[in-house]
Amino acid sequence: MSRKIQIAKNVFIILIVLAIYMFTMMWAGGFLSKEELFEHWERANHYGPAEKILLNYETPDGRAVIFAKYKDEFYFKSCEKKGLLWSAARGPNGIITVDSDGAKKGRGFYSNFINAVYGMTSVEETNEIFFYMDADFIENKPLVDVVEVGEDGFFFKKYDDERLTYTDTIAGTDIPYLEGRDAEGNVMWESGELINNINDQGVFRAIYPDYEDEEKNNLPELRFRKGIESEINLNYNDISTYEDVTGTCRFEEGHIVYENHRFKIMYLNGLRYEGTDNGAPNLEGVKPGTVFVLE
Amino acid sequence: MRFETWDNYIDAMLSQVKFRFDHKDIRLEYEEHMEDKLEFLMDCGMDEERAAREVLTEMGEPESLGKALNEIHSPLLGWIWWVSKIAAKIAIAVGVFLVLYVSAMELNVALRGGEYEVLENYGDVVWKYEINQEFVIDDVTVYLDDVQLYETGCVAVRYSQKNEIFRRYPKYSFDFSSLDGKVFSDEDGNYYSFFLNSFTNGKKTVLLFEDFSPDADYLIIDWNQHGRSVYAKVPMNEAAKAGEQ
Repeated sequence: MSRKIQIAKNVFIILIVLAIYMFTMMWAGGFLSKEELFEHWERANHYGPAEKILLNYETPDGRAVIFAKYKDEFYFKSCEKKGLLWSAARGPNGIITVDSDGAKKGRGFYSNFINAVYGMTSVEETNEIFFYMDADFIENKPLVDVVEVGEDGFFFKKYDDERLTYTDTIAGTDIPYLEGRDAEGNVMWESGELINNINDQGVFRAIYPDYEDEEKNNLPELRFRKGIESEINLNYNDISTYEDVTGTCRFEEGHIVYENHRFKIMYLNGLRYEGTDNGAPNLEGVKPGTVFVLE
Repeated sequence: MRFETWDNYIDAMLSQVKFRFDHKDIRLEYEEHMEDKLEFLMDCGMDEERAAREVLTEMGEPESLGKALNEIHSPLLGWIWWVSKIAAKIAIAVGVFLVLYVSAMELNVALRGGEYEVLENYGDVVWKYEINQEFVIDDVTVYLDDVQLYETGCVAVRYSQKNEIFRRYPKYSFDFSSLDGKVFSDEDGNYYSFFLNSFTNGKKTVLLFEDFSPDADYLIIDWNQHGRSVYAKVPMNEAAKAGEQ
């Protein structure tokens, strides 16, 4: 057999094995398209088939999430491209239900997998969602924003800057507080619990008592309702720590105690508080719903 | 090789062939050729020593022969051939492994195989009802096998599942989870949650209920999700069983 024929034979063998390898990779969960993957995982999870694909979102670096709707539920599947094939990923995966007559009129999530907020509301007249999520890891500020609600009550907003970066948000973290507003900006519903302990995950309904306050210009742009007080009680019996850029603060029996740090204004969990010069501000008399800012 | 002069001849010839991986094959080929010539000359009546010298004479100049061979055994083509040969051998090994692996996994899928895990510490089985129903849920066939009542009062629901052959991952994807958690109940509408989930090879599953009412006549399995359903009404005593019959 001539050498060229031998080479051709070897190349043919290699191509056959490559085909076997591709088949094996597909058998192990690889797909030629993310849509095919989504349909397969619908059957695997026994969802759907989808009445409607709400969004087929793909990032430039090959990550994708497909959001779909089935009656009053919506579900989503994450995937990512590895080489030629798409495979399931550890991003947002799941199914949620919202109920216009129940406690959950809307649900929202943030995922670092796609650096986006997404969710659904069952209240048809909802035009936009105001949401609050604690601790933007990079700038040490909460993630507070407004997102428009699209068809079927679905909302989605991506962020180009680097937001929450800790990995446990990759699968999607519940946004603790949502407000559904109509076209005029009136709040129609709320979802989420208001915290009554500054350590709890959650949010105070932050209010600016005075819109002419000069320091408001230094705060992130927030939209709040005016003139409505919260009914929560601030309970400081639990001790917590809050690390800022220069030191540590802790809350203890109605006081904010800190070490090696003097501050005038503190911002935490959407609360703004003006301190005294000696750096040991007293929270007595502070009205619920006051915003804290940490300088 | 029978003659030292022959070794020297072939060494001189191969010194002109740059692709060294072919030297062994060329050496064998020419040794055989020279042996054949030697036998022929000896058959013609020539003595061995003279025949050996005559063979070398007939072969010609080793360097010229080597240069001609070097053109045939091109180094570039030789390297391509050598690399492709190694790659093909590796590919065959990988291919055989992949085929065997997938075949073994799929054979395992095709068989329901294995036994249910024997649950200890719950006493003897005092009641057993064989359900023997199967449900096709997407690409999975679910077999509701039986329900067992232990003398401690625990109830075990046993089911197995089988996938279509060559189905892509994930496999054995059925379970009785649901969004509202209301799957297992009795005839009075009381719902129960299992506290133990034991499975073997992902195919045979035992769900154990600790608090199922001893007064209940029926265990109702009612799973629904997006138009798919699994339903069974299981009598939990002889009276209920007689009523079913």
